[in-house]
Amino acid sequence: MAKNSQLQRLKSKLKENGLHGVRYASKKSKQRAKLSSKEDDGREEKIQEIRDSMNMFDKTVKSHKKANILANANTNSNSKTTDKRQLEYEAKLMSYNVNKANLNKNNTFKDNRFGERGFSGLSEEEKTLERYKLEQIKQFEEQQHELSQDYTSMKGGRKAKKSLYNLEDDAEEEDSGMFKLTHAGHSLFDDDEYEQIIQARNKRNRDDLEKQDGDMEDGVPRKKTKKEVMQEIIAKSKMYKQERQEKQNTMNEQILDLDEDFDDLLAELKTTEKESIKQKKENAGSESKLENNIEFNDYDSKVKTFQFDKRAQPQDRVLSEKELLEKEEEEAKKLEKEREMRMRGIFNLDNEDEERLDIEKLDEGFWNDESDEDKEGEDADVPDSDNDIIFDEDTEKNKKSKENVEDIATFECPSTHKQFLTLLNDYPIEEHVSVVKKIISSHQPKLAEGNNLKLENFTKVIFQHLQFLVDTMKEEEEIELLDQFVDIFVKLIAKYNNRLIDFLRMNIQSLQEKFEQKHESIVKPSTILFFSLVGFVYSTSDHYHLIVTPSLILINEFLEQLQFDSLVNNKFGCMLLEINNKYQNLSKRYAPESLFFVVKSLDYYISDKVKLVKDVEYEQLSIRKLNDKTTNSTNVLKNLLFNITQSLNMIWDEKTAVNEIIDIVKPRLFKLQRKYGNVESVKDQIISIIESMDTIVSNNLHHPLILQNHRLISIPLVTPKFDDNFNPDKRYNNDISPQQNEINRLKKQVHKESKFQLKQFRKDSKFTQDLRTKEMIADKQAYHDKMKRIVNVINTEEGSERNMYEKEKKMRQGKK
Amino acid sequence: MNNFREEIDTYYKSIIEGGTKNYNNVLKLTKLYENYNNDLTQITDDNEEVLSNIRYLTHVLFKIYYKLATKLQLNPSMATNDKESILYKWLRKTYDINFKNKILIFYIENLEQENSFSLDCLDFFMKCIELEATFFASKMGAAYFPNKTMQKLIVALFKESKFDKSYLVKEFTETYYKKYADVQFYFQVEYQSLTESIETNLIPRNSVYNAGYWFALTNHDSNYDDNDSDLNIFVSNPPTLMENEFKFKKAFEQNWLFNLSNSLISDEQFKSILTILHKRVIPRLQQPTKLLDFLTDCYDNSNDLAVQLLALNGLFNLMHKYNLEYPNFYYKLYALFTEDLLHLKYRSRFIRLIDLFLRSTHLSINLVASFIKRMSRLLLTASPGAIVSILPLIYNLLKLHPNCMIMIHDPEYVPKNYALFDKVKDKKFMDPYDENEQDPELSDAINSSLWEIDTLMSHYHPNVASLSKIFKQPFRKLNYNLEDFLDWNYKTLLEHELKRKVKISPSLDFDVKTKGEKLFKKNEDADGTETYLNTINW
Repeated sequence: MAKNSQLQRLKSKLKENGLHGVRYASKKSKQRAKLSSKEDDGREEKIQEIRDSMNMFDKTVKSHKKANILANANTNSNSKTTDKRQLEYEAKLMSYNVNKANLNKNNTFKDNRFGERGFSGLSEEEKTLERYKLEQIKQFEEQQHELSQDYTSMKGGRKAKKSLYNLEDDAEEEDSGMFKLTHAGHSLFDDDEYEQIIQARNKRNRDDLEKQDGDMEDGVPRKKTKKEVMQEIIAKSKMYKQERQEKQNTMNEQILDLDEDFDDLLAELKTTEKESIKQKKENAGSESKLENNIEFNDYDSKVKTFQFDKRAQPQDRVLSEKELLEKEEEEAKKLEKEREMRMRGIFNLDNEDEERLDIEKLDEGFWNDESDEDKEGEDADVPDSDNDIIFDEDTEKNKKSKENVEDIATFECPSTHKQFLTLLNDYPIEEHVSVVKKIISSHQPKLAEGNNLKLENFTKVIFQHLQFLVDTMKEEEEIELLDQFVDIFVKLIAKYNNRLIDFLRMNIQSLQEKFEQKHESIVKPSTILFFSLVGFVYSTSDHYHLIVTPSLILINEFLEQLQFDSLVNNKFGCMLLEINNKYQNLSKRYAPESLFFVVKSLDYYISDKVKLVKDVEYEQLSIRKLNDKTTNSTNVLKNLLFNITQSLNMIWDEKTAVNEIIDIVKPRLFKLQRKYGNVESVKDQIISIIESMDTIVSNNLHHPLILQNHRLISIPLVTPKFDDNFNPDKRYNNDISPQQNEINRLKKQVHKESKFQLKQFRKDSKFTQDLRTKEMIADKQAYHDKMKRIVNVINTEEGSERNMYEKEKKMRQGKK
Repeated sequence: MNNFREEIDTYYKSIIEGGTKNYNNVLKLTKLYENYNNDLTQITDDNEEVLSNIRYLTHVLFKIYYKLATKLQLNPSMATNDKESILYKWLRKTYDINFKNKILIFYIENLEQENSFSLDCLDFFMKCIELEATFFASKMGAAYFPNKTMQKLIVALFKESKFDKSYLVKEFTETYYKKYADVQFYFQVEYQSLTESIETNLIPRNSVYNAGYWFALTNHDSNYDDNDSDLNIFVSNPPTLMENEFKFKKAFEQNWLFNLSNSLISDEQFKSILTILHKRVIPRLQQPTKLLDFLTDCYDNSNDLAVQLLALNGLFNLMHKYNLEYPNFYYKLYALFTEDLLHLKYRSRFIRLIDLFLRSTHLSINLVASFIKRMSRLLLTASPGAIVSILPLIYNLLKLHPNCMIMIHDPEYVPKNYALFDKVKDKKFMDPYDENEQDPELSDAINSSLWEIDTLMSHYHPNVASLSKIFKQPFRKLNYNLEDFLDWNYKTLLEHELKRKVKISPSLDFDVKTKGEKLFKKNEDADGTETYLNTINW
């Protein structure tokens, strides 16, 4: 094709037909032109023709004939209605005949192309576009398939399955009469324009393509027509395809090259190996070439075995003291950060789930096959590993010095508290701790299977023992023993954290049940011990904690529901308040019950139930003397006031309602001050609390809340619409939205169309029915006619015979 | 024993078969009771022999009188001649005095302990009523109800006495009062006439037991004037007067008021009366508003919050359904919000009622704001269960009265409102809410703010904290269903917690600052490691 662009071609075409460049020089000629408008018809036709010829995409040039029977039925001609009806009838008749002919036949033609069967509602153009798309997809999939096959059968060289539209193979298969994409009746692949584009592409960047196209046309950028866009799409996809193809080709070549080179490489390898082998040979005598092969096979297997071998790992560097410190600090920081996240209740959910899974997995493995625990990695069998329970050096030494308890092997791990007590019975009380330590060290997890389980159980026993000790012991000196037991317990519980949850929860529940039966039954040192242990071991600042949260609930239940009308209960409440404060040391959460307790307790001191007692030196509350009724009430009061100060400074101070809290407490403090005016130290304490309260109140701006400070949400403003042709008689439904309106409109349309379609169907079926009846009637008629004829024939024949007979008879009679 | 029975049997035979001349034997029979009357304490359920004898005796006597009655010999108006009339009158007299008064009523009144014989007496007495109704009418078959006899029974039951006869009242209620319309009617009417008769103070106004009896008698749902209750008639032919519903209602109302004015009613009884008031009493009264005095008295005189609240509930009912005007209602309700309110056992019932009282959209903003503020103030010392039930209530109130939203959001203090905020930025805000103001209209709570709720957002229980955070979020929810939140308490909370699945292991305390601490103080340690607890030691 000589002319490159559409526009150029168009120009030339127009020139050819004398439609281009006609300018009217004068008015006169213009008028003439108007007069000669009759010519315009011819001209219009010409222009239309040219237009059609230029719009190649609108035209389909059939390279081979379609069996276009059904399409014929659908085509509409522009002739007049009578003709149209005639044509319609003919078309129907034709399709009926075809259908009839095809009835009960398998070799009928079915047009499986997109949009060809049934009602598609697509225009011709849309159909082609859609088909092209499908084709592209199919092609791409095939290509993918091919590529994957290519890689698998690298050496095959030839492709296992050829793509229908493979650019490469097209040349070979041009003649085979395969279907191919055409444009204006020409094959796409020998399109000059396309080649030109490709060339241009090779020269320029891909991004310049559009610009280039614009340049080629007129230099003026304009909106592209659909056709052009289509063209571009096709061209682009072709180009990409080509690029891919090229890439693959080069790769294939490279692979082939490599394959060839590999032989050389092997030869090289063999020679080096040979040399070493030769050396060996020299030592071991001569060997045949066969051995070479064996040796080579050995190489492969060796490589494989090496692959599975453990690789050398870098050893942990010995850290300097400074580095150690830094590391520690970093770790502490990390832990603190984690704690803060937990405090704010932010859990990375994904992580949490993973972690949970991990725990479960470990547990499963742990319980099912304990012998495998070394491999599980949780309890590695390395001495001095983190999993062992190690005690401080000095205690270790202490243990050694005590010679009464030596024989490690003699200790069985007690599984119940009773057993433990009977075991301890044989030793003086000072040695109990070392006995316990012996038991633990003789049951280190690394020593035997099932030790973990035993120690876990033992933790429970120690817990019970602690409670037992706290409830029974009364001596001042035993504090050391207690602390040591607590130490051991903390260490154990840190190790068996996961598995002791249920045990602790059970403990909480049993406490609650006891409390429900009789409120006073839990006023015991062991209760205090339990709560402080929980606070001591666990991170109490967590937003939610499996053990701490239930403990808090329980503490607060006690604080709310105990009757604080006795000194003992007050003392107990004071301790709980202290523990509660300790729990909230970091998270500063507010517990209404503690304020409630403070109020009740202050009321108790204000009331006449408490008599003024002489001033005493401040003393800490003693757990072991919890149930001791002789405690000095003033001391308890001092502790209470101390705890109030603490809650005030630590927790209440931070709350917005601190003024309100102070409003509740302060009047009571004044009353108390009046009552304890004589007791100097108490009075001072009260005054200092009141003073700090005053400063808090005076410093607190106490601004009203702005809890609803959200982004403002705009409310859709619906302005009334004025309808120019408002008709009061018409029913306007303003309630429904435009979308609903549209939906209703479409529904109506669907209804209408389906009705029309039904009508059409009925018409069709009536038509076929008519034809069928006609045929049937014709058939029957033919049959009757035939029969009639036959009968006639017979009748005539018979009649003539009879006549003959009669004649003969008469004749014979006449003869007689 | 057998001798005793034989003796009775011979008397019985002589009376029934021997004719009029042996009628004096009736007196001999009644005399037999005297053995027992010397010592009433021997008539108990344990003393079977005595009991069976005396029961047999009573039974025989009733049979005799029944036989006489069927012969119409107990009704003097049926006498045909003077002689007969004298006889009949005498017989009637023995029946009335010797049998009914001296035996049946005597035993009903005087037996101290609960026993089956007095119950039998009650039954016999009711049978007597039935008998009288049939045979004592002026004419044969005339409609008649022995209301005087009924009166006697009422007096016997409700008379001042030293011992508890509630078992008798209960029996009477169960077997007669609840089942028979005419018994109910005449009971109420006669009761009323008894209480109104001035000269004889037969039924004492202030009695320890009567309120209980009365309560037992009326605390049920099958009443004379109910349309759907299916009641029988006790006597065969009661007078048409019985149809007069108005008379019944009036009597019923009067009797209620009479009983409610009893000054010896205990708080417990008040509570149970108040609980049935709106369902079983108020609808049956002629003028329910007459209860106003009683209810206000209840409120004023009781120190029990429950009684006070229930009284208010009754008042609310009257206001709601019977147009009672009671301007002090919310004033009194407001006074109920004391520090103890949220720590009571029947907290959820309270909250339900409070929700009901405050549901009107026509309440003034000041009033609603006062209630909201007061409630949130109480939350500062409340249990989690109370908090979770009050918070949705406050939410609903705020939703119902959007003007109160200023209590949780004061646009003046939004830092973005530069001009406005600059003015108040550094100024101290003085809370205008007056806690001690009794009148909710005047407390000026609307100009205050709910810092208490903001404080609860850092509640130790994570779920309570997050529930209080609903006030921080946009108010998108229409309202909360209170019922979902009412039944929480420590136990359910704890159960909920303990049921939680173990997802992550409980985190241990890694805080550096507390490392090396001991739980208990270890003398005066040189290296200064502190103990875990400050004020507690071993």
